[in-house]
Amino acid sequence: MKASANHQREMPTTLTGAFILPTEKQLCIKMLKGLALPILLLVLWEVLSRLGYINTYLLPPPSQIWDRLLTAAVNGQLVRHIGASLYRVFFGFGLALALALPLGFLLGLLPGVRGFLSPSLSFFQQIPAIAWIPMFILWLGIDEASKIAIIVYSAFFPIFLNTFLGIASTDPKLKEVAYTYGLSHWGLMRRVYLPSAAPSVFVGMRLGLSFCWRSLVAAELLGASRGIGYLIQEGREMAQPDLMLVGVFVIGLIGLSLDFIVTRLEKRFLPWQEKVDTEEVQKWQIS
Amino acid sequence: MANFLEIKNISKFFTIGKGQVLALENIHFEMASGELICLLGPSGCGKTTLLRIIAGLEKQASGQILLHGKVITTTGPERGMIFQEPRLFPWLTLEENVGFGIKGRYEKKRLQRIVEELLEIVGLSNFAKAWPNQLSGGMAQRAAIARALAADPLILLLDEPFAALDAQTRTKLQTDFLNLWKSTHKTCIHVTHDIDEALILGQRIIVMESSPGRIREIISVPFPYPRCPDDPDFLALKKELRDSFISTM
Repeated sequence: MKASANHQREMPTTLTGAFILPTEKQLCIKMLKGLALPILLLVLWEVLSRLGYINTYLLPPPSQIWDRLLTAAVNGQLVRHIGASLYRVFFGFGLALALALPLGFLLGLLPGVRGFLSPSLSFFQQIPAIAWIPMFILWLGIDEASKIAIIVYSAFFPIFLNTFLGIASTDPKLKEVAYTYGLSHWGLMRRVYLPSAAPSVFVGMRLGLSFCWRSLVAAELLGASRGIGYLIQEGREMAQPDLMLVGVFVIGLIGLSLDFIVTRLEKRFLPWQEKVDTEEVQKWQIS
Repeated sequence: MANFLEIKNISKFFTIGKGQVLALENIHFEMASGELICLLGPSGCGKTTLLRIIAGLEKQASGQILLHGKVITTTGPERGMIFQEPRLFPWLTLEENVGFGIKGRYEKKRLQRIVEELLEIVGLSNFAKAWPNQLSGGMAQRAAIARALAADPLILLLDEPFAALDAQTRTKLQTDFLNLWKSTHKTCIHVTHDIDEALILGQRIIVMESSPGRIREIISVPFPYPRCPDDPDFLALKKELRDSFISTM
């Protein structure tokens, strides 16, 4: 056996767009690359503020935002709000998963269902979760229930749709292989449909998590006593732009982390997918 | 000897547009246990359809298939199918792929041993933990053969398994396949459109013609294995076969 050494230097991407880098050095380079732009912008922003080119009331400099962040972190305010938001997301996202996964799975197995579902799904997809907020508040009150409902609504469609499509697009050729071994219905589902749909399910989960995180903050802006959205609202009411920006950046950072976690999980559960794209993997030749 | 496998008057229609096209007309032959038959015919003659009917993946319009005198209507583990593409499950490693059909049938250790033996036979022992997409076409196809053998079928159904491979790999796999057949003595039906391949492998060659798909002639190949493609007798038979083959199109 010969291993053909073709080491391409360009970055490989997975189907979900995540980078995979095999060595630590490359990992560092990637991190530095990713951090270069934000650092540059922050430095520029700070310098321009100090030089007096930016109205610091309208746009406080990064150092001031940082101070505010530290204060909020030290007095426990930040943790309380983040905790409230994360609790809602995990609760709502879990509920959305519990609904969307089985439903997508079952409907994906039925042929011809797509024609019935597509128009309705497209209709609901066009409606942003925020548009529903007043209705949800009317139905469920201003408390937790309406916020959870918004999260479920935002996360449901991407998870459901991708699960559904993943199951429905299971390669008939692989199904045939399973038939020839006389697999039971349950066996076919567990050993062919499920692993085949898994990458698509992960795409749905990633999208769903990102969607519901965004709409949650919108919901919290409209009526909440806790949460990051509320933190921003508080900043507005007290005329503290630095507090508002703390909220905005925290939203971005947590969103980034959540996405990172799902990507990690994906790599862990779908190692075969990772191998599809990793440049380390050699193609063996017959000889 | 005969009536191990009986293919009795199989006919099959395909619906094309509003009309019905006769894809297979009255296919009839018998096989002995351990026999290696090549189904040779131009593309579109229904040889793959026939194989899929024998595998139970498609239903015939009329006729019967009898294995040991019993009618076959659906797929079953006693018939192993090897497709033109390897069709390995991309989410399973090579050894998991090979063990796919027998998972749960044996206890873990025994399963592991069977898989190891088969990987050894097809020469892929070093690649047990590899993912299918890391393999070359020839290796993947050998893994597919190992997967079919794992279920220990009575009959191997091969649908142009070497057609997509390069000439060198194909020749190697043909030799490997013959050795495998000699050591296991599985009954094999090997579909091919390659005259050389049919002559190198088949004890008998069933020549099919198209529209409608039916058997033109059944030729017994008298040469011992391994066959030499340069042998004058081989070449004479090849010429005869080629003339017959061309007139089927």
